[in-house]
Amino acid sequence: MAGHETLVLAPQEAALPDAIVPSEDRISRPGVVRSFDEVYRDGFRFVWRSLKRLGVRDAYLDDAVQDVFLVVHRKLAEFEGRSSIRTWLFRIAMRVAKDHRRTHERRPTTSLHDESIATPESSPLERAAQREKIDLLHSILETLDDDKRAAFILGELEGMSGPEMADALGVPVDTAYSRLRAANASFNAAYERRLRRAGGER
Amino acid sequence: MSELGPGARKLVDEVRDLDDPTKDDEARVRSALAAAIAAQGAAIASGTGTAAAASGSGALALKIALAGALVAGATTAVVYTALPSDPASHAAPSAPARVERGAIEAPAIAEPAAEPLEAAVVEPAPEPELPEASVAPRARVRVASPTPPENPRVEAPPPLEVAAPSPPVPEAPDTLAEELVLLRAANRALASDPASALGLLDQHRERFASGQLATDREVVRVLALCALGRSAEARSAAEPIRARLEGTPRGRRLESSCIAGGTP
Repeated sequence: MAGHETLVLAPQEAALPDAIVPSEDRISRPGVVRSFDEVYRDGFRFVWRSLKRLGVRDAYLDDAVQDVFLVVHRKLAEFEGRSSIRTWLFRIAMRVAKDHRRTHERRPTTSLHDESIATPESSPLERAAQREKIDLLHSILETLDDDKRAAFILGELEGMSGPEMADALGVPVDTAYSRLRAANASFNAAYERRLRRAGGER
Repeated sequence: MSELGPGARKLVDEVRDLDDPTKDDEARVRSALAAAIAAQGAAIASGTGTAAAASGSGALALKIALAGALVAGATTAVVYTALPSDPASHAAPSAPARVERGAIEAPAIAEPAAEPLEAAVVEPAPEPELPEASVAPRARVRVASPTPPENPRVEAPPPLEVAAPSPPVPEAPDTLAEELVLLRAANRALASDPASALGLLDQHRERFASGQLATDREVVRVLALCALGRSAEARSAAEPIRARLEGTPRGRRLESSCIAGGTP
């Protein structure tokens, strides 16, 4: 088992200095064991948006992100680098999101921090339009079952490869691809339904 | 491969980057997480004394273990086990010390009923379908320092430990954790029971009048008063913080509450 005194790198990766690798790419490489500080720095944004897309409501996002990183803090010593940090974070996030959804199901919330559109420079009108699109996306994600939802998030929104998806989902690559196909089909159908409904309301 | 239709594809492409957190989100969670980990460290240090072994390496783990040990009055031996330069402290981590999540969370949060969170974090065995590169033999490289030097071109947030005030201030993280418990409970009560939320906020004000989360407390107070239809009081409560929060997510939250339109 790799202790924290070592970094485990594939030989071709060892020559690539961290500093020139974009933040989230640093946690995408398998075989790298990092310190907690680095995992937090490079993984925070990924964890945040993954939890949102996995259905954690805005009011509970802070708590959920904390839960993920508390697990990371506790378990990092056992992480051996067989997979990438990013896929490991997603597995933890899936578990945490499931717990949060179960705990807070059907409970109405008022969020203190529900303005997380990361473009504060945009106009109120643009922000409203962005909010509408985000809500549409999330409402369609809500219609997918857990497996399809996770595959869609990873494949379509995060742009992960088949092997990466498989690693994050804990399934063979073929299964990951078939889940993504099914997720895309369901997403298309839900999108078209909403279009028709919106058209009917006009 | 079943592809997305053009409309769905356009939506996904447009929204892909809009779920990212703001800098304010990041700072807020960073601060809360540091406090929560400090609380964990304190709990562990007062129990098994294996906090450092379980908490990983790096400056944050060391500082957190130190804060926790000081809070709990543990011996310095706990701190030394966290030193990243001491290979013996990392070679074979002992069984991870368990920390009750309830210690840092509001009582309203139920423990997961199903299998524990740890079940999700077991690394799967390498899949035979994985490309060869991902399972290639690996070389072990010594870490020169716990934190690699940063290239100034790459934007990186400050180290997590900066959330704590200048060291040594062992009481601060502990107080922050207590503040968090109260504020999180109040925030959760906003929608279902705003009167209770106000009670919790009063408790916070009594105990931590000038606490690290005093501003957050007042934001929640405004929202609670709005939820109770007490708009005039909400406006009064918002007055001292309104200008300071202008342009921030919390400020925008305030401005979209009842204090803006005068509607309850």
